[in-house]
Parts: sequence; C-alpha cells; structure tokens
Amino acid sequence: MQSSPQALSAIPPEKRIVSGSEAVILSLLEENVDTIFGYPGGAIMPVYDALYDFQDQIRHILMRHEQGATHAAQGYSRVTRKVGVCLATSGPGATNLVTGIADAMMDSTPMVCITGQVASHLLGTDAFQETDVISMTIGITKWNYQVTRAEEIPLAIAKAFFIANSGRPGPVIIDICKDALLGSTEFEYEHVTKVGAYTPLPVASKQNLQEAADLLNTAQRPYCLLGHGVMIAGAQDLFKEFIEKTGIPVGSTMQGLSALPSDHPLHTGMLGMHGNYGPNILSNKADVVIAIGMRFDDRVTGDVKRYLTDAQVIHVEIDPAEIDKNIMADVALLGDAADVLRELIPMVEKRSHPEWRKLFHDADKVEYEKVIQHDIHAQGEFVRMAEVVHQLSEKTKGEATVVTDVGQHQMATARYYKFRETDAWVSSGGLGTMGYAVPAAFGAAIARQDRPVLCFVGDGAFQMTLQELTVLAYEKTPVKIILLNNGFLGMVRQWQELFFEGRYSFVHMHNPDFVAVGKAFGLEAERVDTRAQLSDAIDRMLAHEGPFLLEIKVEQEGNIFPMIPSGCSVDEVILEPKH
Amino acid sequence: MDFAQEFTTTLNGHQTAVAPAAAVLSEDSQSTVQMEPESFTLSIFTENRIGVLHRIITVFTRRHLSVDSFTTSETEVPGIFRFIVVLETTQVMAEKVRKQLEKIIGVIRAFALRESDVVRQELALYKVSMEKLQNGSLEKIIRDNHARVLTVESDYIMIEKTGHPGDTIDLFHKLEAFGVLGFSRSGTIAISKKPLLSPEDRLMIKGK
Repeated sequence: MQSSPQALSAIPPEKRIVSGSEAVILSLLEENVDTIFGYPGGAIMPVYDALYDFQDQIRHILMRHEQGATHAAQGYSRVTRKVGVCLATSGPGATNLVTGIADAMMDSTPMVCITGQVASHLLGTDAFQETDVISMTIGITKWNYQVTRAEEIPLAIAKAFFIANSGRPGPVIIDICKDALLGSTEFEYEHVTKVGAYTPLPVASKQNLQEAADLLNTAQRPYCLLGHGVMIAGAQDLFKEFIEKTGIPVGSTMQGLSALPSDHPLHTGMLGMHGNYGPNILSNKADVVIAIGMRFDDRVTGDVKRYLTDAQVIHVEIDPAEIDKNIMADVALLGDAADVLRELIPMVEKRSHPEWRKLFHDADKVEYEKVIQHDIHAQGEFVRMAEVVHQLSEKTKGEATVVTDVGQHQMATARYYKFRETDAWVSSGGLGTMGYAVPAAFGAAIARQDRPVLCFVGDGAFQMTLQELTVLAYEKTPVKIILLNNGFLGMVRQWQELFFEGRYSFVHMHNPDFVAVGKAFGLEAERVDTRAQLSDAIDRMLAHEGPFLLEIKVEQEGNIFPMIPSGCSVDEVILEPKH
Repeated sequence: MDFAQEFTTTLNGHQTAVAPAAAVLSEDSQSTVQMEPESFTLSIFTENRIGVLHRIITVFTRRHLSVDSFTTSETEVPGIFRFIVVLETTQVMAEKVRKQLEKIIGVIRAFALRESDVVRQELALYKVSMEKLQNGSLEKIIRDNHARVLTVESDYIMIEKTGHPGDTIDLFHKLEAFGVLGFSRSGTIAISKKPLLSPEDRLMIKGK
C-alpha cells in the first residue's frame, strides 16, 4: 500500500515526537483513510483535539449515535471495499458500537473502530465511563487490542488495518487508554503485511483443483452458489468467465446480489428462505454444486439434513473454518475466490446444460404466474412493496446503490431490484440488524457519488436510527429513502399469521407522521397513499437533488412469498399460504 | 516425548490445516466419522497475546461445550504457549472447534487428538491430617499408588501423585479415611504420541 501524498506531507522525513493522539491521526492518514464516522466524549477527546488540526486532510462525520457510525462505516466499506473507520469514546460510546461490530463480523465487512478508554492506572476500578470493551467484543471482532502506551499506537493501528481487510475481512477494535493518547511517542509508520501465524490467504491444492475440475467436467446438472466472497475478492469478471465457460446456472445468496447482473442468462435468482422458486426447488436435483464465497447460512439451506441431497459439493472459501461447518464439502478449494477461479477456469471444459437450465426457466414461469405478476402488477386496493421496488428498479435502470434495512421490505427489494452494477447491494444479512439502512445509506452515498442511492426501509426499522436523518440533511447527502409503511413489524407479523395462528403479539406500530418527521429533520418529504400517486412521486424523488423521504403506505398484511418455512427443506418452498 | 523432541522428530505425520474431518484426528478414524461423544485432547499452540486466553475460552462457551480440563503453560520457546484442553465431544464437533481455534489471531496451530493418540498425565496434591493415622496403613497406600511424600508437618502430611485423572481421584478416596484437609489437581497435560507440527511450523515457532 502506498502512502497518500497528504500523509507524506504531514510527516517530515526525519522521525518526530508526537502525542499519542496525533499518532492515531497520522496512522489513519498512512492507511489512506479519508473519512471517519464518529462521536466524541471524555476518553477520546485527545484524539478529537488532534483531529482539529487535520480537518483539511481527513473528513470526520459527526453521527448522532455510535451505532449510526458503525453502519455508516459499513455502508462506506461495502461500496468501496475499503476499511470503514469509526471513532468513539469509552463506556457507552464503546457499547453503542457493539451492534454494528457484530453486524460487520457476520457480513465480513472490514472495519476499524478506535475507542478511547480510561487512563491505564484506572483500568479495573469501575472508573467513570469504563467498560471492558475488549472482553465484550471478543466474540464479535476478528481481532481487538488495548493500547496502554503511546508508543504502541502506530503498530496497533497498522495491524488493525491489515487484519481487518485481509483474508476474510472483519471488524477490529483498538481501545486506547487516555494516558496513552496524552503521552508522546516517536512516530514512525510501517505498514503491516504479516501478523504472527495468521494466514489470510490459504492456497487451494493442485489435487483438489483437479478433483473439482473433474467433477465439473462430468456433471450433468451442475449448480453454482454465488456468495458475497466473490465481490470481496473483486472476482466478478472471473466469475462471469467461469460460468460462461462451464455453462453452469447460478443462484445468488442475498449478500451475493449484484455480483452478477440480475439479467445474466445464467442467473437463476436468489437462494434461500424468500429466494426464487427455481433455485430452491432445484437445489436438491443438482448432481454437482460449486459454492463460491458463501457459508451455507441456515437461511440459505433450510434443513441441512435435506439440503443438496444428490450433489457432490465443491466449496470455494477463504476461511478454513467454514469448510464442513454446515455442509460437508466433497472438495474444498481454499483461497480467495479470484485466485481459485483463475486456476480453475483453464481446467474446466466449455459446456452448456440446456436441458438442466430449462428446468429453471420452467420454474421461473411457475413463480411468475403464482407470485411475481401479482406482486409487480398488483391490482388490489393497496400498493404492494414489490411494485414499488419494481418501479424503482426500472426508473433507475438497475444502476443504483441499493441499501435496505431488515424485514419484509428487505426481501421485496432483494427479490425485485434488478442489478446491473456491482458492489451495489448493502444490507444486513447475517445479523439482521434493524436500523441499519439509514446510516448505511449515508455511508454508501458519501463513498460513491457516481450512483443514486436508494434506501429501502420499513416503518419499524426506520424508527431505530432515524436520528441520523440530521446527518443526511446537514451533509446534503442525496439519499432517497423509500419508507414502506405497512403499520406493522411486517416480517414478525407474517410469521405470527402463518405459524402462530394469527396471534398478533406486539407487532402493530403506532407511528408518527413520517413526512413531518422528515421535514423536521430538514429533508424533502412526501407521502404516497394510492397507486395512482406512486409513479409521479418516485419521479419527483429521483429528480430532487438532496435527501428525500418518500413514505409509501403499503398493504398492511401483505406477505412475502415464496417462502421456505422454518425447519423445512429447500424443496418444500411454498408459493402461497397453505389454506 | 517432550516438547523439544516433538519438534525435532521426523515429521511424516504432518497434517494439513484443512483436511476432511475424518483425516485430521487419527489414522484409524479415516474410514468412518464417529458421531458418539468421546474424550478429545486439544493441543493449542499460541503466541503470548492478551486476549488469546479469553478468545480460546469463548470458542467452547459459545457452543455449550463443557470442558473437563484446561491447562496452559509456556513452552521451551519463550513467548510460545501451549494450551491443553480435554473435553467430551463428537469427532465432528472436535474438528469444528479445532478450526475455530486456528482461526484466532494469535493461535499458531491447534490439534484435536483422540485419547489413544496422547499420553496424558495430571498432578495431584493431598494434605492429609495426622490425627487419624491409626485408621489404616498410610505407608501401604502411598507405596501401592506410587505416590510420594513432599513434606511432613506437625499436623498434616503432604502427598503428591501423578497419574491419570482417574488414578488421582482414586487415591483421594483411599485417603479419605485419614481426613483429607486439602486436595488440588493440576488439570491434564498431554503430549501426542505422533509428531504434530510440520517443519514450517517448527521454523516459525523457533523464529519467534
């Protein structure tokens, strides 16, 4: 990695003595950090004091809650594949980071969080705003470290950036005691490329590659599962080359969306609980499955005992601990998806599987007739989530960055937005964090201004982090928030309807006037009550230069189908409620 | 076989980090994956880092695995530590845990070993009251159990025994007739009967 010109100009060629806090900022500049999402407080104040002198070189965004800072950093990272950086104080500042850190861990998002800590002589004394953030975050960080001396700072930060964004990416916390921030150190920065025995890039063996190629070359009904790892590895082009050569149809995980254009002829849709019909009903018909950069999450597999029942499984994965974790692999290809595909492509034969692929087209027809046409060309009294997403997909030509929160609107968006751009899907997958969307959309929007940013959110999730609307307003960030308001915690309500005999327990939302809320925060805001108003309102929103909140009243008790009921096999996917 | 010997033994048995579950554990398990719980010894080599201990423990607690014994000590290489963890679990889970342990930054290598693949020992100390020596022949018990006397004070005698966990608890029950004032066990330490570390591992560890 090269130092940025700014960073070089900030540091005279000779070593110099700086404060611990200044060392923090200089280290961030050395890592080419241009944006920090943060919130000041007691223990981190020395860093904010140092930051005062570097405002021309590093952009600090004052979020309105530390959780917002983490999600903004995630959004920033997901569209740039750079490390997202958060700054927070000790105690509640640090605990407020926890949800976002856990989310980043589950979704392999590189993030470095720097937290202030009480002075080292106060550690363990229950001092004001002391929390043991290191112990607290062990289960949700890839690595964490507490700094007690100023001279440790540059190396700790260099390691943090290397660990966060190498191998399978993840979040790292560096917790720095206030006395270390106030102390002084000689500043000399060296990028880290090796940490002890940590092996970020395992290499697939030639023998395993040959076994995989043999399986693929003789497969009659091969299927490819596309995961987030393809985008993390920057392997989109290689992936396309691989499937076009082998003729293997592809099902994408939710987090793998936008790695392959949705309209690619080999793209069969989304896997999993609310995925497309074909990918689910046909998974158990495949005789060879190659899974690339995905981890067989239970939302993808359904009942694991009845998953890929007829298939030999090739698992391409960078994290050895994922091999055989949920699904046993017949052939494991360890490594970065790009490296593995580069090796594998010359070894596989040019093939096409017309008869096998026809089964997916047949399934698509069934799904279109039973579900999709009723969703996107809805006739009923109420607007459906799917038609909103469909219209936005058409009007933005599939070229937007799409950010979602968690729930029914997330599934509708995953199903109906047709991606043409890559690294364009930003959503909380593994952790399912409500409140993710608004701050993540902000982070994604300031990271990449070349695409419109659509932020789909439900009325429940919206209220979890809506304080960050302030940031959208004062930064004039052109995020388009599509608030799909059904007056319910929709996904929980759907489950209560289907699996808890319609006993609606605390899922009805008593909501504020969202348009007034949006306007109070300084956003342009509008509400759509009927289908007739929808298209024009969307046009006005997209034409507007700044942030915009479009509240759309949607069908209150609409359900997301298809669905694999919990505990069922993928081929028990249902297209409509069973009466 | 001690630690140094283990490093320098011919390393034919080097096992890759991600062989199929059945292959990693022992040669006789290659044909079938055992689903019944059995005793596994996890041997974990780590760099001395704050947080590694806690991270190792969470691998077990997160999965509701109860650990029979957990010991750690520095190896003959300064700064390199070895954890020995004994637990009852299935072969599949032992292998998953092994991989999760190796994923921890600061862990060099981790091995999951069957009972038949290791020599295990523990040390126990017994503080026995002098008041009831007439209740039996303490001398015979000490001889028969290959224990030894560490110190004799006016009111108690301190006995040491090394052996399998079953043997040390067995001796405790035999000494109960005299009144055991204190009993402490070290937890299990173990060494594999086979070479574990590859030449690369050895170089890396020695290079520290």
